[in-house]
Amino acid sequence: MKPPDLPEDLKAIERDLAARPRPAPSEALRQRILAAARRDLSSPAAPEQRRLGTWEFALAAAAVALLVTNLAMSAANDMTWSRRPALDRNAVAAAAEEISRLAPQLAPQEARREALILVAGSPLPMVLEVNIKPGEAPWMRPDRQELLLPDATDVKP
Amino acid sequence: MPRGSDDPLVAGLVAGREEALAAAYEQFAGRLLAAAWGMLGSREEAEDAVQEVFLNLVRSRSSLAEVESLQGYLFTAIRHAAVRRWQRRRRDCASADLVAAGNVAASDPPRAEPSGRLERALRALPAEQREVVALKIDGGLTFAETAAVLGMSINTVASRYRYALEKLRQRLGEERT
Repeated sequence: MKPPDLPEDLKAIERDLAARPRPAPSEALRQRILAAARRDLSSPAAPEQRRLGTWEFALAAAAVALLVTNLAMSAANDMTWSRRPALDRNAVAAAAEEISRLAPQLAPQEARREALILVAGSPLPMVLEVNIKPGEAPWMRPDRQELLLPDATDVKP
Repeated sequence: MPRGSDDPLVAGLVAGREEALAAAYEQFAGRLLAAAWGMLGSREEAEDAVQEVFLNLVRSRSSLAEVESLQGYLFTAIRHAAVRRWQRRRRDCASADLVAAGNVAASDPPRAEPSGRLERALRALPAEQREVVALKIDGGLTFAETAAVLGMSINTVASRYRYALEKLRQRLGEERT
């Protein structure tokens, strides 16, 4: 770059500027800076903080989205989404009949209820221990026996 | 000038060698201090700015390998340090106005008036012209180097320099009359 072609009076000002006294670094400043720098050099360097670039951010976001989708699909695959087929009325009637034959003391409604549960494949326990009095089921907790045993007045002998 | 990664001084700084820092100080501290003083007009603030620049040089030494010119890096850093001090001074001036109005307590001592006609005229220049003069005359940079530090074209820097000299001539002429 060619220096600007300055008129003589501006060149004179430029010379005056260059000739004016300027501060020089003192020995005290040198010692101060080098001592502070020495302290920094002797301490372990702090990990450099770095911001993610656009592509790095996009990749990280895609990885997180993939992970979330994967987890969601795993959970979805473990669930049963299909509805159970309609109950087979004949099967329910046959099961009720069989229950009534095996436990004649049950009312027909109760036998049908148990048959419905049986055919539906419900995990609910069948309540057949209607004749078991509290204290006669040692495999059950005493406090649960009161709850599970149906009211004896409902049961027809 | 060698590229940052090729410059043995930069390599020494990246490696955290104290003698490299001392060599960088010997090579640049004088011109950096003069440039900071030219921009700020205060020796104390200029010394603080130089200290800040060298400490940042040590702390960010791992990124120096990317630097093309250590001189450009240091003068850019001293300019930023000076700009931060200008901004702080402007905030202090606003506070001083409040002090004058009796709203807050005084905390900043009054700044010494520059001595000499040329110095007074220089301090009266707009900041963007004063920094060009400071980098060119006090820092000893060429127009190209000054343009790189300021992130401007060489023509813009040369124009600002000329406007600054013309304004100085005008002010000195006014004082004379």
